[in-house]
Amino acid sequence: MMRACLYKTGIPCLIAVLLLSGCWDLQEIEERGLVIGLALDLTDEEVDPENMETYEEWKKKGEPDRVRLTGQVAVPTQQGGNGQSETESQPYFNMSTVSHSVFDALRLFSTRSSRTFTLDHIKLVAVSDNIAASDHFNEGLLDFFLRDHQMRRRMLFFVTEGEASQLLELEGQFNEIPAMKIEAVSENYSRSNRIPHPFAIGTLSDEIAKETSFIIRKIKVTKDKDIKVAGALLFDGKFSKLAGELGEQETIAYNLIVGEHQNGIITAPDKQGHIAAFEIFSADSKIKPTIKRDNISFDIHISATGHLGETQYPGGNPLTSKYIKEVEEVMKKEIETEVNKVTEKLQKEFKLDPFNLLDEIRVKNYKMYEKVRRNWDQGEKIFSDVPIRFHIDTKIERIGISGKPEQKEG
Amino acid sequence: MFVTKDRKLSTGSLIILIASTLLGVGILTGPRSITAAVDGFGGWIAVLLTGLLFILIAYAAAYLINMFPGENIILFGPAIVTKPINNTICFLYLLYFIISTALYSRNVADVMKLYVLDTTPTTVIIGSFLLVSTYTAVQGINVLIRLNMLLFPIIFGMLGIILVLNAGGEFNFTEARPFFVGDFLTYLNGMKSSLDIFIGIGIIYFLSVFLRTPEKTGYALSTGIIIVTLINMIIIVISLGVFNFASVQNIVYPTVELAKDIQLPGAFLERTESLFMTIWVLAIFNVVSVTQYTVSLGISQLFNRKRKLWVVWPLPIYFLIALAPRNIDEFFYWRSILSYVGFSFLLAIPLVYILIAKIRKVA
Repeated sequence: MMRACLYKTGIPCLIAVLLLSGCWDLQEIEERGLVIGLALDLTDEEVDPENMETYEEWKKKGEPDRVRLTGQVAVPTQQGGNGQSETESQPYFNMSTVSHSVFDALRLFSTRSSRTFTLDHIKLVAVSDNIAASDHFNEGLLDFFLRDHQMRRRMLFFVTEGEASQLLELEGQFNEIPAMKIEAVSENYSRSNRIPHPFAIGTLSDEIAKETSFIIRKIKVTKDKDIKVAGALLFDGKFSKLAGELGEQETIAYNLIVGEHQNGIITAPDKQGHIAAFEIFSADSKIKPTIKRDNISFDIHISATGHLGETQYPGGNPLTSKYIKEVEEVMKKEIETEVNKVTEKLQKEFKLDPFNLLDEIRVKNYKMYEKVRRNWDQGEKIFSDVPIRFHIDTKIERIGISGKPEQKEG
Repeated sequence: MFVTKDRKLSTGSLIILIASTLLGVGILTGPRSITAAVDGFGGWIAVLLTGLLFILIAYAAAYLINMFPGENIILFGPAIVTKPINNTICFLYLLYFIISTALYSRNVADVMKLYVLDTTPTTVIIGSFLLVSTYTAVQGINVLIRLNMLLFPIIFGMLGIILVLNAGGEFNFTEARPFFVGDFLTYLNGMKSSLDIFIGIGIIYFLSVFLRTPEKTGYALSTGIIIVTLINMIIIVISLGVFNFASVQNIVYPTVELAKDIQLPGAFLERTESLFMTIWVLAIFNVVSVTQYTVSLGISQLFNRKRKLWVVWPLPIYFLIALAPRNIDEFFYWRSILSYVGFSFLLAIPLVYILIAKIRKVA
């Protein structure tokens, strides 16, 4: 009786206790350090463990440079105490390590802190522009961010002018965590047309895999430790390497062409030479490829709708539909020149296609795509001789609250 | 000898049994392997063609089963191809089931270790997983059917949520197009790597003893196949649109990445992949426990042994086979070999058996 009882309930209970009582991967939340931002720089500093070879010895082997990884770690217990006015300590801390591989540098964090680091909550990854321009940008240094399972494809990716680690040392008005602040700033793209669309690291890996050229927003740390996001960096698709830069005006034009223009202002003098500002509410673009035998050409239709934000017109208020049409015409010309200028620059100077016009060919005519895909903006550079025609349509819908209605004479 | 008093598998439960045993298998790696096989686009056509092929096979299998209602291959086989030959075939087929089941549990361990359970040893994951599935398989067909019916809506719903949220979010229609490219050879290549989604229907040769309405077997099997085909097609197209044709070939588990990509505003639902992993493990759990049951049923009939014990005895074999592949590459190689083996069994059994039965006029 006793024995049967032991076999029937005792042993299963024992096994159940062993199997169900704990979690192998248990980690208390208080002991975790949530990494929320990472910045990667090239450096010639010495590697942390002292017995490693010196920088000169390392360089002699022809190996890639060392990297300095700076991580921003949020401190959960000290965050979000609103109401309590005086919290002296910061809600985050930064730490940086030097190593040959990014992964190793990250693990070196653990030698410096009592916390275990979790990468699930990273908001942004920034690399300096000299990493982006170096040869092992694609092959070496980015691999970790795309390989590690904790990394999310939604993390924002930035290329900074100068040291990337500055980005995590910002001081702003609101005493925010820098990584959080940058994330918030980057969402402002809908209020300005001078910056490209936010760029996630998943998109980066997609573009690299596809070998197409692409554009990343440029981010700059100003002298008073604040950031400015404006302009764009152009990447070569074949080598995934920094190839050039687009100015703010060119970025506006680029945004208009690819249809990612969200909200922005275009300023141009009207026919009398007075400055007028046209705010674009919605801009749409349609790219239509025409393929006749071996000739490829593109028609890009851009239609911009918006309102008249400002006219520095000295005498009276222009509300006549004649004037509005005139401004529309001026804005159309302005957009046309800008758009042609950036296309010319990309076709002739850089010979790179960040518009992904190749995708349109692929959708339209797969056979043609197979034929040109290797020689589009690489190899024979077919892209640089393809005719691209723009058809622009502007429409002013509203003119604000001041204006004298048109008066019939006589 | 083996006799069933009540026939428990109704048409509806057979549909769900088939759909949920097929659903878990190819869903994680399918978008990658099939897209790679067709070199870009048209993966969904390959899956569709494979699905149609398997519907034909399903009807052939149903025809064979209908010739001997209330029996399964071990019972009616000897009348067609003599007992030794039939028993050898059945034994080899069961061996195939053992190996493939073991590899499924290895797959669970690999994926769980990669995404969720970082420091838990592989042996522990495989061991505990197999213990639970064995426990379920011991209970018998009734429990399995009920469990499948219970879990299927959850698995189906989760996949639906992931697909809808991705289609509404990052999905880029241009990346998913063109839809119709490639010639028959590329599709054939894609079909080869989508075989392993469907080969699970082989369990029907053994489970046919339980069919309540054998005459509707073909209908039930093909409905299950259609459900799975549609889901796999949609997943392939959506992962093409969310990543792109080149990138999807580089991601080991594209469907998990789809789940990871979901982010609702306000950080309302973060880390969706752990939810998805849990539910995917349920799906594989269905597959493993059903095949474990099938194996035990087959062995008990072949050697006239007690079934419940023969769920438990092969456990060390499952465990050792699961640990055999040295890395993920070797694992995928084994899987591809097994998919050909399983497919040849699936195809050869109805063809050969029906032909010989017709010639020898057994029925």
